[in-house]
Parts: sequence; structure tokens; C-alpha cells
Amino acid sequence: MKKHPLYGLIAEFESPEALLEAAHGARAGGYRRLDAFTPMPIEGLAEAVGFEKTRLPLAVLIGGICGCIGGFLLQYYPSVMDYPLNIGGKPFNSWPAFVPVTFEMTILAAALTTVFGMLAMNGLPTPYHPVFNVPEFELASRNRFFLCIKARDPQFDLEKTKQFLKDLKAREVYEVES
Amino acid sequence: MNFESTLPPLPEGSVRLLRALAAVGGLIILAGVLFAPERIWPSLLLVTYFLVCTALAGAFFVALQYVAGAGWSVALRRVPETLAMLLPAAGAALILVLLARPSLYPWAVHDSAYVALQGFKALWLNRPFFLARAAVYLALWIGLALAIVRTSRRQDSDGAIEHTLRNEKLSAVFIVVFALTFWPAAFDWIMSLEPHWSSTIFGVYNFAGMFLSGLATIIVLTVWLERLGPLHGVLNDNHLHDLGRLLFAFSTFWAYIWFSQYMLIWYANFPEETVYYTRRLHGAWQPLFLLNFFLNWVVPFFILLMRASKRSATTLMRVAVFVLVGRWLDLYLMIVPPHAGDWPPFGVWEVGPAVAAVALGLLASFHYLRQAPIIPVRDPLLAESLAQSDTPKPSRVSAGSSKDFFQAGVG
Repeated sequence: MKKHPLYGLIAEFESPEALLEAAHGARAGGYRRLDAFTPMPIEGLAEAVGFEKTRLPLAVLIGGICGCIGGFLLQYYPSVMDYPLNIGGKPFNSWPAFVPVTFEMTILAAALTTVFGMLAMNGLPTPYHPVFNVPEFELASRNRFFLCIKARDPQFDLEKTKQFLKDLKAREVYEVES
Repeated sequence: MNFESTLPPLPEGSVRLLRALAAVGGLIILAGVLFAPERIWPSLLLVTYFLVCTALAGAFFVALQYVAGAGWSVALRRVPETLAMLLPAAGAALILVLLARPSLYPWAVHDSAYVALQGFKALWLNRPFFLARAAVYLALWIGLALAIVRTSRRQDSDGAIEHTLRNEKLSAVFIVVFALTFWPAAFDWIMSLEPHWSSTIFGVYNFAGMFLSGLATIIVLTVWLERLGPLHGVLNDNHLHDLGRLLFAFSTFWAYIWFSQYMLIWYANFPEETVYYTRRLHGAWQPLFLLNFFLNWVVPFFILLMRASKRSATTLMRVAVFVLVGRWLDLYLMIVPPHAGDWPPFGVWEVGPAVAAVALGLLASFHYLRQAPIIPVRDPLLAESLAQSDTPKPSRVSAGSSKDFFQAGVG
């Protein structure tokens, strides 16, 4: 795919309410490739820009199951197959004794999958992001709220989208170079 | 919405049904005391201890929310408060059982087959001290729990912040007192049924079960009140989600402690400790032992693992009912085996007291729920609890609705 010279359009808002309203407006207007940038978390914003489900919970479940099986085998293999020792007359496969390690390995694998899966799926760390080409964007970590409509959006049209964002009561609309 | 309103009276039919059940249960208990004392008394100890634990769990839940400064649960607080108000009656019933049937505890009757206790246990376990301790535990719990409830209700009229601050202090005291007294109470009332056996984790094990079933009771009552009307429009998916997460977490905590007790005894393999599990793991008791784990952990864990089931009132309530049955079974396995033979006794003498306890518990809860507004109307954190907004689904949201959505919460 040919790279679009523009990353998209970014609109600046003064309050979380205005941003949330604009995000709903953009969704209702048919735009799908949206992103929002705010200085603090805003309830309902993620859903408003079309963020629904991730596959992270599934990855965590699979990670947990692998940790569970792996943790058990890590004890089962040496105690039963590789180097069986008679300890206190207990059976080689003393599974109750294996439970704590199995449990901890389940938690460890699930937690590591959560952290690294999250990083992999949201694309962090991102050393370069086009939105920083707009000098005003640094206000996103202070007191301004930004809504971005990306050029990849099938409905994107520079002039029409710019007007659309202005109609959503944006304080200012900037073009973002990619 | 008029939050000032108290609960409307229960439908005539439900009241009559509950009264009839309580009466039938009462008659069964009476008949049991006369004709089957060796079956009815363990059963009565079970249900009265269950009721005391449920009431304590309500008080503990309220105290926990105050100490943590939690806002999310304020709108639902009347439910655990109501449970806490059951404490005096439940405590009196338990004391009555302890008074009326000394022979529940082998250390209290000295027949020829009994091997006398040695050392500390011999000093600790004697009738007068045992009863005095029970009275002290219950008096401390009742005093603090009712003080918290009274302060919360006083806030309904003036909305002063002082009540919240006072309850934060009372709650901190209650939690410390509760932690130090529930442990020996479980030792006294339940563990000393088999006085030669001991397990230092028994107090935590009982706490885990107590809070797990308390949460299940809170969920059942809350969802029921929502269905009935008074909490309609107050309870939303986020409240359910939080309650569901607590149920999920404490179910796993219970399983962790349940297994820890088993594993340490299995591993050390001392005859005086393994006797407890030998009795419960053989013959017809074994399926019950495994069913206990299934009801209290397998069912809640695998169902509540999914986000959607924690946010569904129906699913959550069904899981809570499983947990409550599981709690009954858990206590049954703690209390009944030393009084029974190879076959787990189950029949009218076990069902009757349970039915009476459920019916009386519900009637009393409704009585207490009607004494105050159904939500703490002037609690400073109420707005935060009500503003636990429903996450709007993108498809339902149209342009401009976000403003309503923001304002609706704090109505």
C-alpha cells in the first residue's frame, strides 16, 4: 500500500466532555479509524473511539494453562521418570506436594503473558509517532484533549473531514504529517 | 427516582410461604430435640454457626468498605448492614445450642472411653470458661457491629461527615477485634468437636468460608432487591462486576486455605492429625469431600473467569447459590463426621434446621431492611457509588448523548 503523506487530522478540545461528545459524533458520522489522547483517563472514551475487545484475555488464559502444565511437569519428570527418590515412603508422583509450585508457575506465566502481551498488542514502546509532528500536541499531557481521525479511514477526505471536525466544535484542527 | 422510600412490604404470598417454612422447620427442630437428639444438635450447631458467620460477614464487609474509604459499594451498603443486624438473634441461638447440649463436645462430658486432654488444651477447654468466652466474643462483635450500623443510619437524617469519620474508626477497631476473636471462636465452637485434633490454620479456613458465603448472601439479596424494585436503577453492571470479582477472589482464597490445611497434614503424616482426613476421605464421605471443593471453588472459578458472567445478575446469583450450598456442605464436613458413623447422615433432621434458618433469616432481613431508607441517602460517597456508570456500548450511543450520560450518574 502506498504510504499516505498524511497520518491524519487531529482536533483539539478543551474539556473531556467535549472530546467524548466529539468521539461519539465521529463514530456516528461513520468514521472508524479514530484515536484519542488525553492527560488523564476518561471513562467511556475507549469505547467511544471504537475500542471493544482485545485478544489479551485469551493469551493470558493460554499462558496460565502452559504455566500450569509446565510447572507440574517440571516436578513430575524428575521425581517420577528421571531420578525417582523415595522420600518418607511417599509415592513418586506425590501430586499434592507439587500443587504449590504448579500454582505459582500458573500465576507467573499468566502475569508475564499479561505484561508482554499487552506491550506487544498495543505496540509499545513506540519511539516515533506522527502525532508529535504537531507542536501543539504536547498539550495532550497538560490540559487539552485530542481526537485523531487517521488518513487510513475509508471515509477520510482532507477537506470534508476537516470541516466535520470543526463542526464537532473542535477548538483547532491540525494536519498530522506521517 | 425517590431514594427516600423504604422497602415496600413483601408480597403477602411470600411472607406466608416463609412463615410456613419457618414453622415447619421449627416443628422439625422440636421433634428432633425430643426424638433424635444425636442428629438434631450437630445440625443446629451448623445452622446457628452459619447464621452467626453470615451476620459477621455483613459487619466485616461494611467495616472493610469504611476502612478502605470505598465509594463503589455505598449504594448497596444497606444489604450487609442488614446482615450485621442479624447478629444478636443468631448469636443468641448459637449460645442456646452451646448451653443446651454440652455433649456435642467430647471434652465436656467425661465418659470412660474419653482420653483426657493434656496441657494447655485441658486448661482452655472447660465449660464455664468456654461459655464465658463465647459470650465475650459475641458481645464484642454485637456491640461494635450495631454501633457501626446505628451511626450509618443516623447519617440518613443529617448527612454529617462526622458519622463517616466515626464509622471509619469503629470499623478499624472492629476489624482488629474480629481478627483476634474469630480465630479462637472457630477453635472453640468447631475445632474442639474433635479436641485431640488441631490445625493452626483452622481459623483462617473458617474466615475464608465465612467471608465467601457472606459475599454470596450479599449478592443474592442485592440482586433480589433489584428484581423486587427497591434497588432497580441503582444496581448496575459495574457494581455486579465488583461483587463478582470479590466472590471470585475469595473463592480462590478459600480453595488456597482449604488445600493448605490438607497438604500440610498429608505431608507431615502424623497420625493425630491425619485422623481428621482419614474419617472424611473414606467410604461414602469421600464424594462429599470432593463435592465441597467443586461447589466452593471449581464452579465459581470457571464460571466467573469470564467477564460477562461477573456482569450478569442471573449468572452471578446462580453461582452465589452454589457457593451457599457449598458453605453448608463445608460446615457439615467440619461438624457432623465426629458425631456420625461410616454413612453421612442426611434427612429431615439436617434439612429442617436449614429450612428454618433460611426462612427466619429472610423474614428478619426484610424486617430490618424496612427500618431505614434502602440506600444510605445522605452518605457523602453515595454520588460516587451511583456514578459507577454503565459503560455505553458504541452501537447504542448516538451523537450528543454523552452529556446525558455524564449527568445521569449523579442524579
